[in-house]
Amino acid sequence: MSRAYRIKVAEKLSRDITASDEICSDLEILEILAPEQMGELLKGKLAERGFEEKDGTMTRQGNGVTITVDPKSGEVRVKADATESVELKAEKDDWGYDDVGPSKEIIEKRLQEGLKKDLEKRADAKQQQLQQKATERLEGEMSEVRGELNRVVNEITREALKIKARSLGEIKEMSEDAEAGTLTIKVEV
Amino acid sequence: MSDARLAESGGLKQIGLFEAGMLRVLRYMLHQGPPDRALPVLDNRFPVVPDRLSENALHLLRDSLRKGCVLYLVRAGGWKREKALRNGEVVEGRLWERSTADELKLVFSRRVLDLLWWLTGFRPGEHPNRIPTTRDEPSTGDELLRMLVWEGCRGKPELLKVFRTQEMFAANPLCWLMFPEDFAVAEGEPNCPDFSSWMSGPRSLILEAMQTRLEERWVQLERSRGQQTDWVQMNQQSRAVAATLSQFLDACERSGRVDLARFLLRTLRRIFSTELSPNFWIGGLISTTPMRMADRIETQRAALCTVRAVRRMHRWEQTSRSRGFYDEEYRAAKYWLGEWERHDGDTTLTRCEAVLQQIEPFRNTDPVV
Repeated sequence: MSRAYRIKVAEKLSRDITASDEICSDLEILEILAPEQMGELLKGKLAERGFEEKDGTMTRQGNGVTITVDPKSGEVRVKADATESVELKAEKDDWGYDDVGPSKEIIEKRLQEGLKKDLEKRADAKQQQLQQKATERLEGEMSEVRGELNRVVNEITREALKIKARSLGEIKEMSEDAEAGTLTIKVEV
Repeated sequence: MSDARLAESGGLKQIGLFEAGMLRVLRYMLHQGPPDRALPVLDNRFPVVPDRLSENALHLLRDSLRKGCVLYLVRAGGWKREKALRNGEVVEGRLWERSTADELKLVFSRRVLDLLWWLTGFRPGEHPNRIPTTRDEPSTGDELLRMLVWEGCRGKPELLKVFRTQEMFAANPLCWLMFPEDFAVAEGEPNCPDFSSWMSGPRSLILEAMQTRLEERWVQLERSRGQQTDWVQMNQQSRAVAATLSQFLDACERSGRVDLARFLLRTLRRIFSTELSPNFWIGGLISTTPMRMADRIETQRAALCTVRAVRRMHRWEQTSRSRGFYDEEYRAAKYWLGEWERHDGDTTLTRCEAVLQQIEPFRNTDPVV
């Protein structure tokens, strides 16, 4: 008479998963002054806003998002990173018989392989979730970053126009019309 | 007309059924015969494939090639009175007025017949699966005909799949220039061939003659982009188009044959006859959107690769303006300035830049103050 027995197998998977998303583009910097001077102005304005110089670029980190601006070329990189340690556990069981069918070792091996596949799938799903999180974080930050960098560009444009005007002659009058979005500089040459 | 009737009619040459099939295929490829008579030949296998062709068949095939290719090039734009650059000088007239008969000679090798023999006698997957070929340098006529064969078989994906693995097509610059999107690859960078050999000699004359046809084709290509719904396919096709443009424009610039790129200026002029939005190219992308923003932006930028080519042509215009009367390139510079003005390059440039800016994430629309 055959005796049935229950085989239970448990598997564990520990993994550090990472995800990132990145936007790379150029700032629209007008060539009012020499590129080096425009770069210096940009560097100064970014420093005022908490950017730090690192290997010739200006960088700021916050909310899992890193903004890097190259003042020489105007290239901007906005990168969102996300990391997570996942620990997944799973259990499976099956029945075996001492005199018929596959042996205990074979059943255990089969269960372990099945569990490993399941855990890999769950880890992939976690990876996808984390990727989505990184992208959502980047999308969330983008409008603010865009607005801030556009303000910086406009500030340095105004600054550069004033420097240029001063280099041309004596500034007699300067007025800014916020409604019309214009800056008028009268220079006596 | 059936073989029997062919034989019956006194003055006509008698050829076999298979040979008649080859002739139908050739005439269809040369835009001389109707597709409904040639396409069944490509679909249905002949029970017997002869090892050699009769003298009559060879005569008719040669005759069709000779007349058909010339007629194709004339209709493709060779008939137009155009200006072209030859050794830095501007020549004007129809293709045969600005070239000597010797320059216009098209040479075909027997590889052309091998290709037609394979197309008529075999189906993809059958033996021989590969079209007979040699390592010999292809002749000008061979390359033109291969492009026409590619064009004729575009509705048959199983044939294109075989062609893509064959060097005679994959390394044929004319095939790439006419149908760049067909060379999209799933992985790696598209391996677009070098166009240097097409910048002089009889191959450059083919490009001169085909300016109108190329313009039509590229307008059609750009208009069809908005109907692409799949992000991945759009990315793959755009990379193939960008690689082709890059290789082609590099060759034009290196050899001073900017006149061969004027079809592109005309294409952009026609597309940008009004102001457009990026949706013209990417508005159809509705299938599973890539999760990463980086992938989305990369695809959108790639989709506008033809629009971006205006920057290169603008650079040529800027360089041309700086050329003086005593410069060697003065006439070529004047030629390009003339083309730029004739096709309203400045308006096209402004409209292209506006579209390119719209997809950039850091475009600045705020007033300065």
